Amino acid sequence: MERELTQFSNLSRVGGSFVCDNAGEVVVSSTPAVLATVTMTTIGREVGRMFSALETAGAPMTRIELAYNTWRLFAQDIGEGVLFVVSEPGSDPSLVRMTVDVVAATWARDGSVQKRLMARKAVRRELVTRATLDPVSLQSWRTIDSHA
Amino acid sequence: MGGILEAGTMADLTEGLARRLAVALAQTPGVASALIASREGDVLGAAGSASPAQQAALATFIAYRAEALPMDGDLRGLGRLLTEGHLEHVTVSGPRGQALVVRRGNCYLYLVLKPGVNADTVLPSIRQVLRKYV
Repeated sequence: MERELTQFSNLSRVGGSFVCDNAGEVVVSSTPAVLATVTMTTIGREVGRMFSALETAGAPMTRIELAYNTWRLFAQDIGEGVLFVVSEPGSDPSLVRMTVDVVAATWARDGSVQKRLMARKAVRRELVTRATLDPVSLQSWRTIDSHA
Repeated sequence: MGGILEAGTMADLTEGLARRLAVALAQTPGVASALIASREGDVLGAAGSASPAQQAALATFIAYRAEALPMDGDLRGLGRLLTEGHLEHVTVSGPRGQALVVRRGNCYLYLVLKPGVNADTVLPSIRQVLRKYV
């Protein structure tokens, strides 16, 4: 997995990449790490909650792209985890998406990668708890769940 | 892409204006349905949405989680960019197509795109519509 992540570091304005399991814990990151481990874990958990909300709403998605004024985040569902790519706003999103697709397809065919991810199997929905959400998010979750 | 969300405020957006804005957004080429939600997840206006309450909740949930990301950024390297970042929009993609969650002032927009339409091509038109209304 480490080898495939180097493909992102070669892209213009891409800072790095990492993979989190479905509990939000970091499985692997590009070297040097693009962010502090605690930050990558926060991203893993929050994006995991987004995927879970979309699935609960009956609109399952495989990719989430977040655009901020100072940075971009690409998140690709790879089954037992999420592949993240962090870039600056000026990066080429098409090139990043294409590389994400290539890397995800490579890992899907790689038994050792799947074994590594399966060893950390977790349920995304368990990321959504009363203790981890603010009141507005908790109310929103209840509405999403009640309409499911 | 920058600037789609930062200008203007929708804090005082009336439900009538929100409905008109939702209709205008839903008529934008490539957009199948449009919904405007308050920051609390209430529906302010919708056009073409099959489940407005759920989509409003979904928009609010996704936006709140997205806005939580920069709060935990450290100040080293790209971490500084995270900490200084303000959410502009979120694109979600899957087998059934794409949807956009856009923050505008104190409101969130949830736009479902027509099959095969890419969010990158729709965002400039959405920006134009928003400029007319806010």
